[in-house]
Amino acid sequence: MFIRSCLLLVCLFCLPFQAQAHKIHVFAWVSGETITVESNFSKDRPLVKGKVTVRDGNSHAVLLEGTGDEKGIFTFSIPAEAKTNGSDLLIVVSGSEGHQSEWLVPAAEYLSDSNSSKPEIPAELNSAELKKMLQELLEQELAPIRRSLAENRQDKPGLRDIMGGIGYLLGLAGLVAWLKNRSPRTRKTDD
Amino acid sequence: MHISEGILNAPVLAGGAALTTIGTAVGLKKLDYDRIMTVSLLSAAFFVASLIHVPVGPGSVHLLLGGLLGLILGWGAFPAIVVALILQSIFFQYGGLVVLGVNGFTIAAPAVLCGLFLKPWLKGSRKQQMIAGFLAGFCAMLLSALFMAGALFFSDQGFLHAAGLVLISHLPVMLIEGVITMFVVSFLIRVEPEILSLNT
Repeated sequence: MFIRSCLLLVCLFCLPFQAQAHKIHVFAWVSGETITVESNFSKDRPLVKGKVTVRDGNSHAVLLEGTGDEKGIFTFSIPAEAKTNGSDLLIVVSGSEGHQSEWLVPAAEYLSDSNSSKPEIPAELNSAELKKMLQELLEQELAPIRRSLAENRQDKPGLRDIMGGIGYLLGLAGLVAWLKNRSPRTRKTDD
Repeated sequence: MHISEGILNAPVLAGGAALTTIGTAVGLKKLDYDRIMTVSLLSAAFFVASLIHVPVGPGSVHLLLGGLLGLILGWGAFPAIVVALILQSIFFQYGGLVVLGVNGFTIAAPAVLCGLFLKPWLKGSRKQQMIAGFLAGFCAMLLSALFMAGALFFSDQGFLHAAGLVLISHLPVMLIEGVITMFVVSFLIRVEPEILSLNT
């Protein structure tokens, strides 16, 4: 009875937890005066017509609502109240069947963009100035991406790694025990 | 305690690898395969123990539980620790596979030494058991720190300063290990003494 329940537990743990449509992934970025929100279940499966709610990060008041398109993309211009308050923007995306996920756009990201000095385009443009302008623009756009890449770097061992290691140890022990029990010595004594 | 890849020179690495191979072979031979699950559970405990950090000054050191493994498993501590180190290097990137020999010997040899040496005391009075438990934890960590300092020093004389730092910074964790091992061992003796007659 005990062994059977252990086996059942083992089978339950074997069920694929990383199945396709179990979590909405949300990513939002700022470009100029608009924010684009992209939602999907996985790389090839966008969240079709998901409901998007933009809230004030501090007060949680709803600033605006909308619906994503067929490709899971929703674009909106930065609400005036958010700009005056200077608060973070909490973007909540929900799909059917109770899926919901959120993304926080820090105030620094959309405020700095609108306050950044847009390089003035002179009447005559030589290649050196053009290069400099492009570099500045790219810096602005890439800074948040670099920040989030740095934050996502996993330095501490995660729970997954710990469980994996312990699993291997127990599995090795089981394997060794099974192998040892198959030695011809014990088989002979069974007769 | 885990020395990273690319720090030690070739002779030290080779020496460590040879010693660890011998130790692991002896350990496997003397292992009581009827108690393999206990061995793997202790290996798992060692595996996780390195995640427990003790802050020391600007950095931190981590627990090893070598003394405990030595007392309970004897020579079996060698394969248990080496396997756990391999998995740690794969899953956590602690240490590495090239430096596995040195790390394995640094941690497992003191564990086995202290375990074998102090095991008879566990059959004594309550006080002797507690002292044996504390000493096992403390001395295993002390010897490990010494071996690690030695490995660093023999690789590059310039590591003398670093080696000294290693010893000093591990003093707090030596004490903590001693205390932990003492409590665990006295608990095991009270609750499940068979586990301690595990080795040959």
